[in-house]
Amino acid sequence: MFWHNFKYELISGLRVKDVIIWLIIFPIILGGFFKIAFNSIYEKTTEFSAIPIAVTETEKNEVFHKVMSQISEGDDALFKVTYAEKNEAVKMLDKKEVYGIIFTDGGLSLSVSDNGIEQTIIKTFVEQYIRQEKIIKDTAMNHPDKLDEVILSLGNNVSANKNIPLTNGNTDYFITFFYNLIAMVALFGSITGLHISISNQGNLSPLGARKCCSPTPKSISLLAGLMGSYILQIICIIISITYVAFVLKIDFGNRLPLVYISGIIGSLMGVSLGFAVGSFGRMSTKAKEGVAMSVSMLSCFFSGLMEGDMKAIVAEKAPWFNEINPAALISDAFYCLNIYDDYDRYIKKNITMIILAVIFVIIGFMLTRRRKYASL
Amino acid sequence: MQVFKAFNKIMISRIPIAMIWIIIFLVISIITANNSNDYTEFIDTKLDICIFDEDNTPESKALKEFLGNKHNLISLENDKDTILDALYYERVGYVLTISKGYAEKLESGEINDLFTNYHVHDSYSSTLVGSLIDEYVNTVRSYQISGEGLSEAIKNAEDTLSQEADVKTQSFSEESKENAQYKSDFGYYFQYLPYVFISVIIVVLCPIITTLNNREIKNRTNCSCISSGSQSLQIFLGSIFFIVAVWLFFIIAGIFVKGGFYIKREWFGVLNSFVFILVASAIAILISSFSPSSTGVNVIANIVGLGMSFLCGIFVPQSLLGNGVLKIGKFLPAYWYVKANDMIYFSGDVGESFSLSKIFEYIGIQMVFVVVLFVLVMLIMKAKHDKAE
Repeated sequence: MFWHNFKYELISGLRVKDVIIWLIIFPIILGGFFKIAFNSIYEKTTEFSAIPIAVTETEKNEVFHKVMSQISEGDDALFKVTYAEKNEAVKMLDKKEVYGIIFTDGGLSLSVSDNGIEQTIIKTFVEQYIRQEKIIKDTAMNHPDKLDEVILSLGNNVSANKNIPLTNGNTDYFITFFYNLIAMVALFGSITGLHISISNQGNLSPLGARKCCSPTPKSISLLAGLMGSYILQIICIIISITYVAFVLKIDFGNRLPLVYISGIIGSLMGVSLGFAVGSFGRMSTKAKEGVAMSVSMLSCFFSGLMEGDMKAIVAEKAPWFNEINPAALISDAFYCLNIYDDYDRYIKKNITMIILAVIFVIIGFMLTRRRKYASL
Repeated sequence: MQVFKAFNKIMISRIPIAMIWIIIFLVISIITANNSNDYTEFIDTKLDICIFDEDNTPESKALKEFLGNKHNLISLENDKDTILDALYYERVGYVLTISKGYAEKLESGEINDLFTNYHVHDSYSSTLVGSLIDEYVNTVRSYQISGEGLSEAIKNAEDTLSQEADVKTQSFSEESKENAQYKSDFGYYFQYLPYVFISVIIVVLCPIITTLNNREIKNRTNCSCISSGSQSLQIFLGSIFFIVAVWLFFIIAGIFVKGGFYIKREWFGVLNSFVFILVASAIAILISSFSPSSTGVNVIANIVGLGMSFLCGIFVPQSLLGNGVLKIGKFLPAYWYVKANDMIYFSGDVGESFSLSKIFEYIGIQMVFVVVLFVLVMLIMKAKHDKAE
């Protein structure tokens, strides 16, 4: 009987076209939007690139000129320098073509039109230059014999500070939007899960009423329903991940098979969530769909689908919530795979997902099984 | 007024699901209003940095204090995962560890491996703080070489390093003062409005119209004594009633979020939002003419809402979007809404400078979208009608 039910569950699942189609079309369309929108943001905002500045030389300053050409050369150049007359430079600043103008008249001075980190870096550079001048002057006055040594040491590239890279993964944090997109697909599985409990409850659907008077035990027909939905949902999530990883070419790190596994576990959790929601109370199908959608959407929202910073804010204010929020668990699992070398946190996230899925299924079974109706 | 009453009944049943968008929207706008110093705007020079002092000597404390004067020191748990998360999400700009033996090494003139720093992004903040630390060490070294003792060298170095450059801030538009009275924090409230308008209107209006146009219900209404003109009029009235109610709700909620009444230029923002809610309604009516299922409606609301938000510069400012995206955006109404909104609240920053003709131009373009969408709806309805006959 199990296989009979299972077979028809699969067939009828495939016939509920809108759910399945949307579960596949949705990530394709939205993922495309994300890809277009986030393509260049990381380079534009977070990653360092040479800062365009203008230099207006009212007085020739050979040393400064030399320093400028030194730091604006090569791959790791600090500035992109344009030499210009004052009027022209001001025009460039107005059009935001440059972040600041350095004037060399006697001392150095700086003009900016805004506050910001680029401006601060220019300011730091100008200060550095002024200070080194001061050090040299100080030494020339107090210890003229050491002057050469001091100048040499100022030009030294210090290696006092050692970088410890924390991760070998993809550090572009805009990919968390794609993690959340996949989490959303997984949680939309709750809509499929919902229909299992509804089609087994006599008071909600004619199919449920028919099933109530069949000799098949509820546990078997529920189990068959769950299995059918799991399989459909797993197919959807595999298509989504494949699309994001291979068509959109989003870098998930070098452990792609594990990404699929977490996606699959996540979708089991999503379907089970819907199954549990569907079993609660006597609300109509539409109301339950509403609840399932709301739970999924809010969960994704707190995991950062609409506002990328959201998860970090939750981590600060209420860290426990990230440990149980289904969408956050899924996207965190992807994040761990990308960023961490070890598996501790990754395994913990997946186990939590499995526990949640089991809890949801148990709730669903307890509420749907053995329910009898005096009249329908 | 039977049709109107039925309209309201269905509407009320859809309100709970619309609430989730309203909640999401209000949470986002409250967060952005309190969180304005995110990655695009660093207020002056202060970054959040974290220092672990393993040396714990007067010298290392002096460095910590020096850095603390220039930036904000925050404390983190000394645990690799916590640090990694904080750096990854840019909750902290720089994490420095002063190695054991810092003072001794400095004393003996050795400057290798005095510090370590954790590294995730090649970011502006790591460049900024890194160069400050290099300079500190360099300056201390230089004074030492010139023959001073360590403590004196540190003192001199701090003295030298506290010299600041002369920075003039040029302001170009005479209107910058004028611009300053429109708070950009509140501008985000209006910037996010299209998202909530589209989502809420689609999830509520589409099911109502789809239900009322359901063939059986339609046939039943048609054989009643209500003329088809009266039917349409009642549906139209119901829609207008709902749209205006949603719009008023958000305009009034805006007054509370802002903590004050709208002033001068902001009234154009209010007008802009009204025109956009008409656009959203036209989109919703267009979608409902395809009679989607109830699940379908939810998913469409998400795709249209999120899609337009990401392509037109609602969630991500237009200035950060690539040219290709902006070209696509021009064919979507929200693009013009955001352009008008940028002009009102972010003029002189990311927005163009304010001009009446431009505002009306952008609002006008949105009106054209409304007209085009309604013409489309008419055509589809006519095609369906012809087919039915």
